[in-house]
Amino acid sequence: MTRNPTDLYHSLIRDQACAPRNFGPAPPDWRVFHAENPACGDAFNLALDLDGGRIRAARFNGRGCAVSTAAFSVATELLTGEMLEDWQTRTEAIQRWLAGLTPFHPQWPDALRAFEAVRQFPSRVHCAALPWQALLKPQPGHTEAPS
Amino acid sequence: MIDAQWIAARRAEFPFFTDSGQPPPAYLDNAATTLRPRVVATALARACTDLTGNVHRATHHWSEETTMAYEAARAAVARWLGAAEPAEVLFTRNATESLNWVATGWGQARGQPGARVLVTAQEHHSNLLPWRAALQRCGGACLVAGVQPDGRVDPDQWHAALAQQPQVVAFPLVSNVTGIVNPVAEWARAARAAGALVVLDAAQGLIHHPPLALAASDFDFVVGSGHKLFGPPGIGFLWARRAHLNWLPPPLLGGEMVATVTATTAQWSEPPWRFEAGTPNIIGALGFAAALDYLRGLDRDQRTNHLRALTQYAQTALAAEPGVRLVGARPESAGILAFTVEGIHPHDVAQFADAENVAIRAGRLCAQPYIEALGHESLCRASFQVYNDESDIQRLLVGIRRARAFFLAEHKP
Ligand SMILES: Cc1ncc(COP(=O)(O)O)c(C=O)c1O
Repeated sequence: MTRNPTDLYHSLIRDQACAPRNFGPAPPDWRVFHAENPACGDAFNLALDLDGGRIRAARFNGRGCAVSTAAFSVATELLTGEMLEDWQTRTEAIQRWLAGLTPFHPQWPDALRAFEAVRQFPSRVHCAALPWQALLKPQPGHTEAPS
Repeated sequence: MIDAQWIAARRAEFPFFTDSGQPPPAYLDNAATTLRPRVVATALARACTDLTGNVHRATHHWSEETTMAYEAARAAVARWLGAAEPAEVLFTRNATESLNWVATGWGQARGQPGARVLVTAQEHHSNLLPWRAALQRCGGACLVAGVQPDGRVDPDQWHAALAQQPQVVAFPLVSNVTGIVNPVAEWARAARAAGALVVLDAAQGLIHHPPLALAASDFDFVVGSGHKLFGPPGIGFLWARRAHLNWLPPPLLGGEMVATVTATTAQWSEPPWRFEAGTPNIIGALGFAAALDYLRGLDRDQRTNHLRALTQYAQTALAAEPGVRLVGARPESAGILAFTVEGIHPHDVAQFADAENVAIRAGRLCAQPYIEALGHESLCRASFQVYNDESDIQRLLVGIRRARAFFLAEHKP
């Protein structure tokens, strides 16, 4: 079985991985979420500027592979302007979809479909799932890049 | 010398190649687990079909045959290790389980507040976490000898830590990250002279190493895994000097490991059975013995020369490749080569290698502290065996070039 990696690295993933959006440190008063992938050494912080429950802006910082970097980059774009709670309640469903267990939900934004091919690469599912795992892991305090 | 004919003969012995198309896949993840030769597959199948009955249980002849086959496998491992007697070899699931048995058992029997265990910064997590946990339980401290920038354990740090009189000194035979071969005989001698118990994590590199001749060595405990020695997964060993088996507590209690049980007391059976509660991995043990037979049948010099030549070829080829940086590569590295590709995460490199039908490993390689000490978050690792040749390395280079072309070409900032 030979799978074409260019299927995995959908043009959007490559684009976002090579030039990530909203990347870098965030102001200290933003809410920080953290996730890492112990096997690969990916570690990211996702920082949200919250106005009540609404996300005014999102940034991310850290290091990882193209898939996880793109996943965070896309997530920051999707989350901006949204209610945090709406996305927190979706995270499990998104992860189940990435794992190939359930179909794409018609109400999810199309940008997420860029990760469709991940479903054929079981060892990369957790890379794409990382930002969604982070959303359930608020950190006390800082926004610096995770060590 | 890389002998194409010799390699072709090896490939013919492994169903992985005979059952795959052309060109043959490049399996360069041997440090994680080796391929299984046909003789091992056959031995496993035979054990399934020909053996009936449990070990050390019944008086019927089927059970007796199974018992004899299982104990013959133990004797084969003991012989291969140069142990004083088969009873010094305990079958476990893998090296990780073996290390947990030693660390936890030592902690229970001998761990005291203030106890010290010396490990190196090179450790696989399996030779680090069980010690840390045991020390935490008894109120002891873990001493870690750091590494030099070239990846080798810093001898000054190691000897300074030894001077603090640790009760246990544990170290790896070969680093699973860089393939660096440690001076284990010298370390064992020094540690024993300092009065410490010496624990060798031989999970990595045992396949390439000259016979350990354990009876006459300075080691007290040695662990390994069958699946890194051409054997099946699910079977490993813990070798312990006989005297230690008298104080090491059995890790599991239950059937098979007791001599007499009364309403309130129990008396353990003799080693090694004391340590093998429940029905063991009989089939795995037979597969493991078959793997050692296969290994013994290969000329050692030829194997060593092949490995050295191929590792050097790979080091030279990768070092010359634009964007590739070797990590901790040394002339004597035991068939393992760690590297990075500039600007591309190891995972993505491995994905492009996979598309070329090349298996490499990427990530933290179960040795996060070591990788961080070398200044990295994750690495790529290629590791070689008797069935690998130059074309495998060339295919890896193709994967690396494709990854670079994909990620770097149009996106140069
Ligand atoms: C140096 C070292 N120690 C321990 C282990 C653990 O071996 P196993 O997973 O078979 O328990 C490995 C496996 O990669 C290793 O390379």
